Amino acid sequence: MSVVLSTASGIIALLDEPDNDLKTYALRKLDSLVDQFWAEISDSIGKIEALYEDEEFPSRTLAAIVASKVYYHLGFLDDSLLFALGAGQLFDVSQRDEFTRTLISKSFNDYIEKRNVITEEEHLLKLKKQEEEKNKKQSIFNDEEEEEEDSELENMLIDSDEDSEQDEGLYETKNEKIMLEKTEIEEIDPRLEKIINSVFRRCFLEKEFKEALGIAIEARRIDIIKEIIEMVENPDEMLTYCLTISRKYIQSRWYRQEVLTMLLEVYETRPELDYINICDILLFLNDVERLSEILNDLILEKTKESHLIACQIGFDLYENASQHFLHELTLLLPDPIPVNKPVEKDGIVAEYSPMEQKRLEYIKKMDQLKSILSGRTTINLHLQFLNRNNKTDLQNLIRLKEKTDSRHSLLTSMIVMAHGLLNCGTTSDVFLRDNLGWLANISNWSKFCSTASLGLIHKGHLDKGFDVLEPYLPQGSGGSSPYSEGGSLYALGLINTNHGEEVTPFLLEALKNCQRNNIIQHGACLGIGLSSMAVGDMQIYEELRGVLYNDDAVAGEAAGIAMGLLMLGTGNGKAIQEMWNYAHQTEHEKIIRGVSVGISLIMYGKEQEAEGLIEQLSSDKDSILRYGAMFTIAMAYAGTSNEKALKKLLHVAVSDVNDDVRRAAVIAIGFLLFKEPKQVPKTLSLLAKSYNNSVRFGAAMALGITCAGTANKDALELLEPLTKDLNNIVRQGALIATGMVLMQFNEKQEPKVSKIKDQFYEIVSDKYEHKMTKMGAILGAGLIDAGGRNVTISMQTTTGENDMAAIVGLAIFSQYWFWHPLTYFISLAFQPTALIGLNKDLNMPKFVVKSNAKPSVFAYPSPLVEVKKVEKKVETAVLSVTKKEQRRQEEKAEKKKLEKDNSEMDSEEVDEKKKEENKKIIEEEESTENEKEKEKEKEKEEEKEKEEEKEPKEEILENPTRITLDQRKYITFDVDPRYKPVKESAKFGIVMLLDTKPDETEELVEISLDTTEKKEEEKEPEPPEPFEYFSD
Amino acid sequence: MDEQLFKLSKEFKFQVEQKQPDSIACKKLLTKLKIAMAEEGILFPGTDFPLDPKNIVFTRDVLELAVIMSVKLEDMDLFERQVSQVKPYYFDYGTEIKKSENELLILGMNLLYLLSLNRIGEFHTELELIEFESRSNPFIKFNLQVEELLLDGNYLGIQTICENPPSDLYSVFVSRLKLSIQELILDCTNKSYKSLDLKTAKDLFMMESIEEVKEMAKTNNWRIVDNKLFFENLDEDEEKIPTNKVIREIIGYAKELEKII
Repeated sequence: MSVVLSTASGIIALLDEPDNDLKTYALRKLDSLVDQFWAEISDSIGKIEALYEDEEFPSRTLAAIVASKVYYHLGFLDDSLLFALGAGQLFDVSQRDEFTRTLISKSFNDYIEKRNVITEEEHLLKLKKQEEEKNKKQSIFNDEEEEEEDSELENMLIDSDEDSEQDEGLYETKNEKIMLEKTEIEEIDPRLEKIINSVFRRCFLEKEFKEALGIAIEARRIDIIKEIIEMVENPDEMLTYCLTISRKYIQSRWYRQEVLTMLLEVYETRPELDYINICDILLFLNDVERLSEILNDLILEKTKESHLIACQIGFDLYENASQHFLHELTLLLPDPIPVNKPVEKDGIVAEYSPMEQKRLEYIKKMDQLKSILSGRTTINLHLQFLNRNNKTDLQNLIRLKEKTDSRHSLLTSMIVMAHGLLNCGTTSDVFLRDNLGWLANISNWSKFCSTASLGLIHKGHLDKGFDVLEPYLPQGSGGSSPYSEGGSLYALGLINTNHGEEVTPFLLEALKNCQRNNIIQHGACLGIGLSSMAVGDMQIYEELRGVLYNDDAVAGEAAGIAMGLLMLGTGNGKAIQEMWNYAHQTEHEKIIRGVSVGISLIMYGKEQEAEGLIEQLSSDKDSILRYGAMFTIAMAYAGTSNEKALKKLLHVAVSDVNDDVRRAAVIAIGFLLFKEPKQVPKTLSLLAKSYNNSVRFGAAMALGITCAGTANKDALELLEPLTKDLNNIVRQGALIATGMVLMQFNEKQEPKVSKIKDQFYEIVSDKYEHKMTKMGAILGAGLIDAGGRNVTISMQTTTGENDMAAIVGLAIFSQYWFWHPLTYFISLAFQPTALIGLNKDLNMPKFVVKSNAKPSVFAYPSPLVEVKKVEKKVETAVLSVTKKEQRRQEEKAEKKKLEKDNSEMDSEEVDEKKKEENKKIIEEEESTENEKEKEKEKEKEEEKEKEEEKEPKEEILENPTRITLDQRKYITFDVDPRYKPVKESAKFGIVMLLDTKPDETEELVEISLDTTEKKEEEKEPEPPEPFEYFSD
Repeated sequence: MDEQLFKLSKEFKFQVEQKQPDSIACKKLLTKLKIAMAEEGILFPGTDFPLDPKNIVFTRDVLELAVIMSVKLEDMDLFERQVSQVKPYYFDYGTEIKKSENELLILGMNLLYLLSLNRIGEFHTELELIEFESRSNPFIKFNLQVEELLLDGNYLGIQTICENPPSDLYSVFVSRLKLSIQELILDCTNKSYKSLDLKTAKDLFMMESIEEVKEMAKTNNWRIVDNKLFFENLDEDEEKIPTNKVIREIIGYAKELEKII
């Protein structure tokens, strides 16, 4: 006989029995029935709780587990967890049922949350103690000094007086809080800790190490992390895994540092030292001294590999470290004493002693390393690569140019800009040279732009940049127009971005000598900002401040931005204070905007430290300062995906009264999330459908900068309707963004590429299209094939760090809305997608890698041959007419000649003869052309067939080669018989190669930087075809 | 089954069937029995293994006795608990054993208990659980009648019907029922009259004698003057409906709504 209970009331009634045994019995029954009768039991949950709280009751844990289960069913997980903790052994972690799993995940969440709060508090306490100790020491040593420092500190305070008071208040309350918590710091329930630990043990047993590691990192349990790494069979893999996730996902700065310090310790105990990772961590920890020691040791070591590793580290460092850091590092590296040349004695050519030879070698290597760290090597290599592999399709630009009205200065300057983007870093300025006459019509700010575009083309051409710009630079004696002078100064900055030791003095000089010409000032300020980015030099700062205080709108805006660039990421309180004050004094919107963008740059990467400033700016009644606040969030939290900041941005994006602020907020979202481009379309999908034009524009821009070069499907889907938006500005933004997203993609990978290119063309050639949209189309066309199709836009370095210059470049680029010349700043974010292999002498040997994908998948987009043909046909049609006209004219001329020469000849006869001959010639020409075309088409078809039939599954690429973002995963190094990379994970960027056959002679890749001249020669117009001369 | 258990149950039965059962002894015995049954596994056995009908009958009988005991001892809390303990043996476990003679008696008492406390909702839920045919059973029918009269407000009818309860055990509940009816009436008279004749009051309150009425007046602080009962504790602060305020607010809402639309 089996029975189905319909109610648990009988058992519940047993709970009221006076006897404990009966209650226990009832509880046990209830425990087995709770999943069915929780609703009924919940009515008398009070009784059960009372039993749990009754200290004399023997089965308290049983009561706890029943209560926990009831609360779990009721959905009160907090209470449920509380009782489960009280249940002790009865809450069995190893159970796999839903109740246990839910509670475990809940307990993890709670635990992680509490750990985070507690560790943060502990950290604050620690900091406070340190400060106190410092103060004590100081007060013991010298009271006066302390006062001075205090006053200095006060000066350094970011906020104005009132606000600093407020801040002090805040600090006080915070301190009070800490004091309170000191006495009663919320300890984590030891029972909770027990549960967590037992779950960890279970993970270990089941070998779920990665999961355990993730939880340990989140819960800030460094001891567990260490334990896991020591426990695993393959610690190297786990170390790398731990390194990547802790760098990617840990948001708290100091905690990340702590984890990395721990990892460093582990790394150093490994039998084989992994220098590359160690240096990576040291870079993050900002430990210049140890880094320099390691590098020095590596160079001193005899093995070849160690030297190569040092170089590789050097390249990585240059890519990831700030200018300031590199500078310090170079200073710390020993300066070897040069070896005296051996003195010739008695006519015998002395040789270096072996000791000296060693020293010489050491010096050579050290110099090499220093030049790598200075970045010159990298820039040079990239320049060579871009120049060598330049695949710019000028035809595309030419056809756009033909469709633009040359009377329209905006669009012509856009064409020049697009050309600058297309040829960025390739040093190829054929187009400009070919169109000198057309350029001559450009005036005013368009002239400024076109001169500046030279800087873009020669970007990174540190040696020759100055020469190229020579004719345009201010000569002091009036010379050319201020626009081209200003533009050339700006160009100089672009060429020497981030490497301005040599040009900054010149730029400063130019700034002083310009007799307050605001255009030259503008160019010079931007140039200085670019060339001395993040240098933080106070002298330069004062110079720029002087320009700002002149209260000239044009120059002031540039000065504001330049001050920001100069102080980039320093968080310099004085600078912020002064700029903030001036923003309130001036009446020029342009200046306020420049200054507020500048302020945002100063707070780059400051994360929480910028919070006070952000709060202050975003509550300002001046909308432009609020606009700056949005960019401050973008800069301070760039790439962190910080939730709080994101919430704030989303809030502003839908609530601010000013369109500019809303737009800035949406764009800023892109800056926060660029490390997770897949998330962005989801986040922005609603905003992209907003009723507000500015918000839609912002969404398009944010998609562009985050998904650049990814051809993200979702992003393209969002952008497509925006390119047909009703509002012309939104269309502009969407076209630019689409260009960015589709960078470096060919038709085979993404069929939309050809579509969008056609769209660009159509928009430009459409008479009725708004010029703003046309502008977007031209820029989009420039971006999609930018840098000779060898660069992509990315805000992170190849190793996944924030690329400061790129982030800043894009931030200022997004100001192009107000000031078009700022468009050039996007070039800061251009990242050559190159694989460059180097040997020990930093030369490029002949070296091959294998790409395990069909060649056509990652091929350069096919140049516009087809379109060219169509045009040719049209041209021929036009030509035949013009030819005839020409002929006629020629005939007339000839007639005259003939008349003159052979006055006795009958003119009519000659005419007829001529006509016949001409006709023949024309026919012949036409027929041959047609044949040629046909042949070409045939060839093409054949090629296509061939491709389809015999496309190999892999491709051998020669050093240096372009490797697009998507291609990276297909690259293997197993084909080259001779060279092996030092760092195995490196599949792009600059890779040091280990020569396995050092005795053989090396074949080097020819380096030809001065191809500009060669190309010019090639491009020179062909000599006219031979023609027959009719003398009679 | 354990002999000990049988012995205990017999002793318990003996104790309960006394006219004036000993409260302490009975309760002690009952607890002992329950523990013994729990140890034996026959008190609310799990449903996953086959059950022995004998055991079920045994447990049910013990629990029924416990209910009767609680009535005899007039311990209402115990009564309620015991009823809910025995009920599964009627509805869940009891589906395949012979019905107990006492089932309807106990369920009927439970119904009356609920009525006496004016817990009408629960009364009806319980009633639904009882088979329809059983409604003609005097134990149940009695309750149905009482409920109907109560609903009608026919307190006099209840008075008469209560003179013949179907079982002696019912008398406990009947008297409780009367008390609660009295309370109901008192509540009403208090508000409907300013003063009452003692004699009328006696009739109205369904009391046996005028003395009783006087006592009642004392507990409620009513004055008795010239054989007349004055209800003086008329609550003046009786909450009036705040007409003006409500009207104002509603008009306000209407205006706001109009603005929004």
